[in-house]
Amino acid sequence: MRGRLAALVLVAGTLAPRSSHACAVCFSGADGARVAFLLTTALLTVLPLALLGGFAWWLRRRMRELDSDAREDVPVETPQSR
Amino acid sequence: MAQRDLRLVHDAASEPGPILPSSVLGTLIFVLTEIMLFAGLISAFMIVRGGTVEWPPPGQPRLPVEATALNTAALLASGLLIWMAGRAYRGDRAQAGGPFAAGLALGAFFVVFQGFEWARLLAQGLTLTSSTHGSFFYLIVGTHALHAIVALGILVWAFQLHSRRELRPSTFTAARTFWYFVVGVWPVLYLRVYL
Repeated sequence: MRGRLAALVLVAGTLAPRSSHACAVCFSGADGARVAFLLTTALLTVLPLALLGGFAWWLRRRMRELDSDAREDVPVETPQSR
Repeated sequence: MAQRDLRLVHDAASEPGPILPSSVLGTLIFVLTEIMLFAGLISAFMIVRGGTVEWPPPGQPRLPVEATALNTAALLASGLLIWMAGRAYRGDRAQAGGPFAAGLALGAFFVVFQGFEWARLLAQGLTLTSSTHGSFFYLIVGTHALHAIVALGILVWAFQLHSRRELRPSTFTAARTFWYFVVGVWPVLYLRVYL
C-alpha cells in the first residue's frame, strides 16, 4: 500500500512539472538563463571528452612519429653491407 | 664478458624513451583539471548573468574594457615570446635568454596592471560582496590571477636555472605548458566577463 502511494506521488509529480522545483539551479525562468544553462551543460558535457580525446589523439600521433623516427634510424641492410 | 657489456650498452641505447616526460605529463593533467574548473566558473557566471535584466547591475561600476584589452595584448605577447624562447632553446640555448626575459617581463606587467585595476575597482565600490557582478568578477579573474602568479613564479625559477645552465628541457616544457594555459584561458575570460 505504501509502495503504491509512493508510486502515485511520483507519477503525480511528473505530471505536474510546473509545481516542481527540484533543480537547485533553476532559480530563474528567464530565457537568457535557460539558454545559458543549456549551452553550458552541453559545454561541460563535451569539454572533458574533447580534452581527453584530443590528448589521446596527440599521444597516438606522437607515438607514430617516434616509431617512424626509430625505423629511419635502423640501418638498411644492402647486399654490399653483408 | 665483453659481449655482455656491449649488449647492456646496446639495450640502453635502443630503449625507447617516454613519449612525454613525467613533469610535462603531470602539468598537462593538472591543466586539464584547471580547464574544467574555469569552465565550471564560466558556466555559473553565464547562467546568473543570463537571468538578469541589466548587466552590470545598477549602481555597479563598469569594468575597464579598453585598458584590459591592452593588458590582454601584453599577456598574449608574453605567451608568444615564451614560445619563441622554447623554439630557441631547442637550437642554441643561449639565444633563448632574450625572449624568455622579455616574456617574463610582459607576464609580470600583466599581473601588476591587473593589481592596479583591482585597486581602482575596489575604490569605485566593486567588492566581493557588493553584488553578484563583484563576486563573479573577483572569483573568476582572481582565480586566473592566482594561476598567473604561480606560473610566473615557476617561470622565474626556470629562468634562474637557465641562467645557471641547469635548466632541463623537460622542466622548461612543463613550465611553458602551464604558462600557455594561463595565456590561453585569459581571452576566454575576457570575452565572457568583461564584454
